[in-house]
Amino acid sequence: MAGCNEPIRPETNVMNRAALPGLLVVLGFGSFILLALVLLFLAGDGLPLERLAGRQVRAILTFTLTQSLLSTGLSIAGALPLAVLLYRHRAFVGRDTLVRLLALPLALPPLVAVLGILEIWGRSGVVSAGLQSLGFDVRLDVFGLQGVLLAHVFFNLPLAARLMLAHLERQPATTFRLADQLGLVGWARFTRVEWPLLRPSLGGVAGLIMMLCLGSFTIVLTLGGGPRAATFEVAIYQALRFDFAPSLAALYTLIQLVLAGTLLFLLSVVGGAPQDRAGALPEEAGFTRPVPVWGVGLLILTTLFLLAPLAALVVGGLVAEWGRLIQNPRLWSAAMTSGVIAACAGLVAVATAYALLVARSRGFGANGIAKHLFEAGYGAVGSAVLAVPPIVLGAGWFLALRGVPAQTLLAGGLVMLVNALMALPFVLRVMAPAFAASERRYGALSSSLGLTGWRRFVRVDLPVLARPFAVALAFALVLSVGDLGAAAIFGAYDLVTLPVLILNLMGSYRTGDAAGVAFLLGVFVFALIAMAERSHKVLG
Amino acid sequence: MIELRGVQLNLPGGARFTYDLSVATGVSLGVIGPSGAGKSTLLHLIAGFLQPVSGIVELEGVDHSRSDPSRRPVSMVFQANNLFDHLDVATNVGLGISPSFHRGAREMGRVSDALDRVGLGGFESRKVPSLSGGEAQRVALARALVRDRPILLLDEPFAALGPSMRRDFTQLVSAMQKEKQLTMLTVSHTPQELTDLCDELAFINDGTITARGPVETMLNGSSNSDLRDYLGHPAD
Repeated sequence: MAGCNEPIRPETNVMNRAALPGLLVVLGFGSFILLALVLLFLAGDGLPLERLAGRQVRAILTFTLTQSLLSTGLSIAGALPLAVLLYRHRAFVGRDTLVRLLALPLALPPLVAVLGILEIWGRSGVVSAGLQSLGFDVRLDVFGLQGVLLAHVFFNLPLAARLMLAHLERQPATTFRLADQLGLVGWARFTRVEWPLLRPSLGGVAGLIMMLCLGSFTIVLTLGGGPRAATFEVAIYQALRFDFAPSLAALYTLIQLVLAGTLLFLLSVVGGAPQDRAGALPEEAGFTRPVPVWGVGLLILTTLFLLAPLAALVVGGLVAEWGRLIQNPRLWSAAMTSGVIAACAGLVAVATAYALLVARSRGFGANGIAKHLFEAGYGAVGSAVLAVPPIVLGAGWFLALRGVPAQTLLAGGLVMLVNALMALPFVLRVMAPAFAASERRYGALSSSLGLTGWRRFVRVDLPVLARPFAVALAFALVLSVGDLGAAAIFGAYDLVTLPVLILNLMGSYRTGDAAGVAFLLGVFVFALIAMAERSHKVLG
Repeated sequence: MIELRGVQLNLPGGARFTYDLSVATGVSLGVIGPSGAGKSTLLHLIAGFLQPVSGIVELEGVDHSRSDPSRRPVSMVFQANNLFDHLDVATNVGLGISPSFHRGAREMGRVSDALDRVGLGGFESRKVPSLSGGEAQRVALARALVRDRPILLLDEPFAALGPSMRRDFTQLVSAMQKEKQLTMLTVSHTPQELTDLCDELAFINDGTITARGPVETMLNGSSNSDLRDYLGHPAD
């Protein structure tokens, strides 16, 4: 018998009315994705399969795999000692700040980070200037593989460190107490305790990072440095925007889908991507040893590596010519476009996630075939963006807009839908646990009182889940406002968002103005993240 | 011997615990009290997992208020998760001999002896997940044996065991305590479990030890009203 706190499920194995909005979402977004692919594959004169063995495809494939593997390896190699250090030493001054700093790159729009990285590591950057002032005749060049790796490590080393730390912190507290009592320190502690605990999670962490690097668009577009350093996503963009070769774009899409699908399958085999809940270990006045010298060095290097580009962005933003910049109508137009698209995408993502969660929890009997089918659809829509990246979705619909009236407005709507779909996995990750907790607590009571549909939304779900809804909305806004993928493709239809404006300014060598706009975007994103973090803390 | 003098501990959330306690060598003291009163906290303080803001934690005549848990003359058995799941039984026990334990003939001899003592001879190569709750607790006890520290702390060691396993485990711990003259502190939610194991009981309420005495007296005739409430005895 179910406990009194268990949500009541309909006794039948079929679905009820609560499933309808969720079903519509699955069918709607499913059709949106499939249509994008169909439009792309039908647009040209058939797939140029003979080019599969050509030099160009081989070069793109080699670069895509090389940069993905190297980025993953470097990120994990740097993250492993950092995670172990943060796990071992839980009370040094600044630990919490560093753990929070590790989350910052995840929220930073890639284009904004690229500008910061250029300020530090570029030919005219701080490091080159420093080396020259020391008498070395060296100018660093970040365009090409090395720049792509640098940027990917900037984003993924903190992610890997947080995932590994979260994995360690999920172990029972007695694990580290036992290790403390038995005097397991240094290498012995690593080999006996930490490495065996971490090893099972490494496949998932590596798979996730590889997936992100494989689908990297903005970083490779801006730092790749030309056709010899392009991933398939960038190649799709270039085939459509510069060569207008839909057949070639379709071929690249096919290869990208095969690569991403294979990696997703491998990721599911190793147990999926781990959860990011770093900092979950309860704070206490526990025993802690002093951080060793190598650890202090690592902490300083990591902090500098992450903070320096952010500091450069702030400085670049502050010295921008604001008097001229704020009189530029393109800035305000782009800000308005970005704001409207992000707000709509955020609301659509949250409403969609709610519909999916309601359908999943209340719409089906316990074991019916309809439930199993819906679960499959829920999983597919919830993670579709990993297999079918925004640039591919954008490419299909970009072709559909040719010759259509009101292109700019329609392009805005399409970018909004792509962004909503892109945000959906993250929104679900925030909302699903809160929704499940609410169902456990109030599910039976609501059902017994006959609260269903709209009444349940107004009386129970909205008041109880308002804060997780707001946090999820903030995350969706952050992702959408910083996205360049779909927006770059639709830039051809005079749709200029803030990231597109930054890209255009960089392309015309107005880096000062680009830094100013990036600063604005960064401030907006961090304000949203700060609000979401505060709410998340209250949520526990 | 355990001596806690004016030991103060501040916990997150504002709770403040204060302990004064003296336990002579070879004495087995049971620690009882309501949930959240500070029973396990007392053990963690003695083991070194928590550090006091003030006061002295003296163990075997030495001030250990700030020392590393591994350097204290203490072994501790937790309620659960006493073993590393990824290591076999022999290595789990052997780490009690040394953090750099290697499976040499002498070390393995000590491990096997300890496992024999707790009735688990031949379990050396068994994996931890294949052990029952009682077996896992006995492996933890075998590690405490090879660690050979004069103070043994047991934090609700019976919580995961069935009635017959509790009896066996109690007999095993009691024999070990008497043979080695261990100074032992056992935390339990069920005071009756401690009658066969302890010489005395201490009652903790709101982070302070408010009553202490022989087991029989504490369970039947204490004048402490909080203790009587806790035990469910009617007021006089």
